[in-house]
Amino acid sequence: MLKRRGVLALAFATWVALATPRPAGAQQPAAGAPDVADLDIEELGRIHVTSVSRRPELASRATAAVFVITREDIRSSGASSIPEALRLAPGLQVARVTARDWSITARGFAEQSPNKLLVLVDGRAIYSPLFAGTFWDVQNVVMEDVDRIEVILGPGATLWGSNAVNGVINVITRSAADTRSRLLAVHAGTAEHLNASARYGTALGATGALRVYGNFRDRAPSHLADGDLGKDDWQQGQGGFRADLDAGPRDRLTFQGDLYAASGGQDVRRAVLGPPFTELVADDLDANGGNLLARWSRELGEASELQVQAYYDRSVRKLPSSYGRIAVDIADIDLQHRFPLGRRHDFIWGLGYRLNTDTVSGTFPTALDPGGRTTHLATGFAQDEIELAPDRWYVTLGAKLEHNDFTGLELQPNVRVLWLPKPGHTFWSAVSRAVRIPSRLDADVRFVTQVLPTSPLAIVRVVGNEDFNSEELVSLEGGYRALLHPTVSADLSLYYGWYDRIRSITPLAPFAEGGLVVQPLRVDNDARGHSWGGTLAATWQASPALRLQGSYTLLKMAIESTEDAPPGSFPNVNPGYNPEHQAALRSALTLPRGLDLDLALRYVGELPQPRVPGYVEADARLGWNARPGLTLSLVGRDLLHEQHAEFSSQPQREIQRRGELQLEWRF
Amino acid sequence: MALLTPGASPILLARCLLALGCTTALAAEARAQESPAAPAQEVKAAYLLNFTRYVDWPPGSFPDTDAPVNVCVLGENAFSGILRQTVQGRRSRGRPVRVLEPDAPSQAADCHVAFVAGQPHEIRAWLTALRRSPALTVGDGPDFVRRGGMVGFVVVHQTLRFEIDAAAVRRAGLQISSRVLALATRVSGEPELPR
Repeated sequence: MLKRRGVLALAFATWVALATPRPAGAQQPAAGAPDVADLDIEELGRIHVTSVSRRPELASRATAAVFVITREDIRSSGASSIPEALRLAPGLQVARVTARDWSITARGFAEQSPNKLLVLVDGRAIYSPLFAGTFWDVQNVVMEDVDRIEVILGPGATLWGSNAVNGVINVITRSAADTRSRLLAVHAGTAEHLNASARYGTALGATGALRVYGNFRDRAPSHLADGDLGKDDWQQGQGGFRADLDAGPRDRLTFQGDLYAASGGQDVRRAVLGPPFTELVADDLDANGGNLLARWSRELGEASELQVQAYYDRSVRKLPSSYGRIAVDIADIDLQHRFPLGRRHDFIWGLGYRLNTDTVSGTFPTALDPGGRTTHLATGFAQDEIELAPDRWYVTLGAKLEHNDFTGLELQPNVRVLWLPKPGHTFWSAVSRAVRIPSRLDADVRFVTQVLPTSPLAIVRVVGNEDFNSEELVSLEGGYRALLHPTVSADLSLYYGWYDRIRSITPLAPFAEGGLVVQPLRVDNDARGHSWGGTLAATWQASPALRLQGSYTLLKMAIESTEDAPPGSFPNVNPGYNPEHQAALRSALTLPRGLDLDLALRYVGELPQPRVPGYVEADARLGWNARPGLTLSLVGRDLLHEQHAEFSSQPQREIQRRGELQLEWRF
Repeated sequence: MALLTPGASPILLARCLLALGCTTALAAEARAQESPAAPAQEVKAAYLLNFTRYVDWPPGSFPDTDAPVNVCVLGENAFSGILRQTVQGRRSRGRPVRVLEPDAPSQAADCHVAFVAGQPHEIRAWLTALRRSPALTVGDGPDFVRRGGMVGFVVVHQTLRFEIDAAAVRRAGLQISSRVLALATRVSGEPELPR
C-alpha cells in the first residue's frame, strides 16, 4: 500500500533483479550470459543466440510468481477495462460481480471486495484504507495508454507495504514521450455501450512530452438470474494528463493527474425498522474524485538511483441508502534510493509517510463511529540482493517496518533465494510475512444487518473493534521457470500460506437501546487458516504467426476458529467463494493483410458456498491493422452461453454474451 | 524474431576475402559453438545501442549537445522492455540514450535509430513515414533491406548478424562507420567496395 510506481519500479528491479518494473520488459539475461549490453559490436557477432521467440518469455530472475500483461496482450484481448485485462494473468481470480463490481484476488480469500490484494496505478495505491479493497468501478484508465500491468502473486509487503498480502497489481501507463500522437478510441457494444477516449499528445520542449485525455464510458446494467435488469448501470466521465520532462541529463520529472465524475445505480438489500424489515432498494450511486502525482528521479550512476514521489488522492462516493457520503483524502510522500554496495550487493532502502483523512455521513443502517478519522502511516524499508555466486546463486534479504495508528509497529520481512543452475532454468524460493492492517470498517463500523420482528424489535448490529489486530500471513513459496525449447517456456509456482488473526465475528450479550434489543456482533481476530496451491503457465510460439498460452491454477483453502476463540465466534472469511480449479487457453494468430485472430477459453471451477456453478467461457477478437496507427476490431465476449454467473450477489447477477466494435486511431 | 531467417554464409565468406572484418567474422563463426549464449532479443538490443555509437547524423538532428539519442521501437512493443533495460545508464558518445515507442507515424520524426517490425504492409508504412527523418532503420531479415530498410538482422550459424543497404543509409544523410560495415554479412549499394 505504500509503494509507488517508479519507486516500486526500482525496488522491484532490485528485488527480483528483473527488468519488469522499470520501463522494461520481463527478461534479464539468461543464467550464465554476460551482460551483452557491455559487449562491443564485434563481440556481439559471436554471441550464440538461444531464443528467437517473438517476445520475451521469462521473467527469468524474478524471485516471485510474476506475470506481466503487455500492451500487446491487452490489445489482443480487446480488454476495455483493467479488470478485463487482469483475466489474462494466470493465477488471478477475476469474477464479475455486477456490471461495475469485480471480485479480484489471488491465492484465495475472495469476497465481493477482497482485501488482501494491493493495487497501484502509476505508483498510486488505489486500495481503499477505509473499506480495505479496491473500487474497480471508478478505476478508469485509457487502455490504449497502458504500458503494462505487472501481476505479482503472493506477498509483496517488504517492498509495497501492508495489504500486499496475497498479491500486488501494478498498472503502469506509458510515458508521455511515447504518446505524442493524437488518439481516438471508441469501443461500442451491447453491454459496454460506449467507452470513448480522446487523447492529445505533444512534445514539450526538446525532450519533454505531455498528453491530455478525456474519456467517457456508459455501461449497461447487468441481467438478473430471473431475466430482469439490475440497477447497476454506470456512466463515468474522466479527464487527465501526464507530463514527462528531462530536467538535466540525469533528472527525470513526471507529473500526472486525473479527475472523474460518475453516476450509476445499485441494488441494495437493507434492513428497515418496521415491516417488511428488509427491502431491496434501487439506490443511486455517485462518485467523483481526482489525484495529482509528482515524481522526481535522479540517476546517480549505473544501477544507482534516487527517487522521490508525492501524490494526493481524493475520492467521494455517495450511497444514500447505506453509508451516505464517503470522502477519503490521501496524501503520500515516498523516497527511495538504490545503489550497489561493493561488487556483490544491490542495496535499496526507502522511507514513506501517508496521511489518510475520511468522513462518512451515514447513520442507518450503516455508520462509522467516529464518522471521521485521520490516520498516519510511516514506513521504512531496506533490502539487499546479494550475489553469492555470479549468475548462479543470489539471496535477497529485506524488511519493511511500518507504523500505523491501529496496531502500531508491523515488521514485514522476506528472504528470497534464486538459483540459476544452467541457462534457461531458474529456481526461486521465498519466505515472507505480510499483514493486512485494519481498515476503518474493521475498527469503527456500526452496521445493522438484520431487524428481527420481535417485540420489542431486535436488531443485529456488526460493530467494529478498536482493538482489531492486523491479519497476518506467513508464506512459503517456490517456483521453477524453464525455457524448454527455443519456442516453449513454462513457469510453475507453488505456495503454502499460514494465515493467523483472520477476521472473525463474536456475538456479544444483547442489550437494550432506545426501545430496541441490540444483538451486537463484534469484529475480532479469532480465525486462522491456510491456503496452498500453485499455478502452471506455459507459452508456445508455435510459428512466427501463432502463439499459444495455457495455464492452470489450483487453490486449496481452509479457515477455522482459533482454540481460544470466544463461544459462538465464527470466521468472517468464506473459503466457499473460491474456485478450486481454474484454467485458461489463449491463442494469438497473425493472419495476412494485417488481420489478427485472438481466441481465449477459460474455465473457472464451481464456487461451493454460496454455490455458483463452474463455467467455461470463450472470447474472440478479429482485429484489422489497417495501417500503423489504425486498428479496427470486432470482439465477442463470453460467447458460449446466453448468460452465466461468476460470483454470488444479492440479487444474483449474470453476465451476458456480448459483442463490441472497437476503433483505435492514432495520428 | 518473426522474420529472422538464416543468412547466407557464402556471401560472408566472399566478403571476408576482401573486406576489413574478415578475421573477426570468421573467428565468430568458428567460436560460435563455445561462445556464451543469450536470447536474440538481448543481442539485438545491444546492437541497436552499438549502432548509435557508430552513426553520424546530419547537422540539426539533435536540438543540443546534451540531447538524447532516440532509439525508436515501431510496430513491435514486446521488444522495448529489453531495449530500455539495455540502454539504461549507458551512454552513446556522451549522449543519453532514450527508447521511444511512437505509436503513430506522425510521431516518428525524431527517431535517430528506428527498429521496425510487424507485418510487411506495416513495415512499409513505417519506412515511408521515416523518410522524413534521419533515422537509421533496422529490422529483421534480408527482406527488411529489400523493402527499403537500411539494416536487416540475420541469423548466421546461430549468431545474430546483419545486412546493410549502404546506399539507403547514405540517402538518409547518415554516415555509418566502416567498423559496422565490416561486420555486415552483406553490404548492398556500396560501389566503392570491390565486388
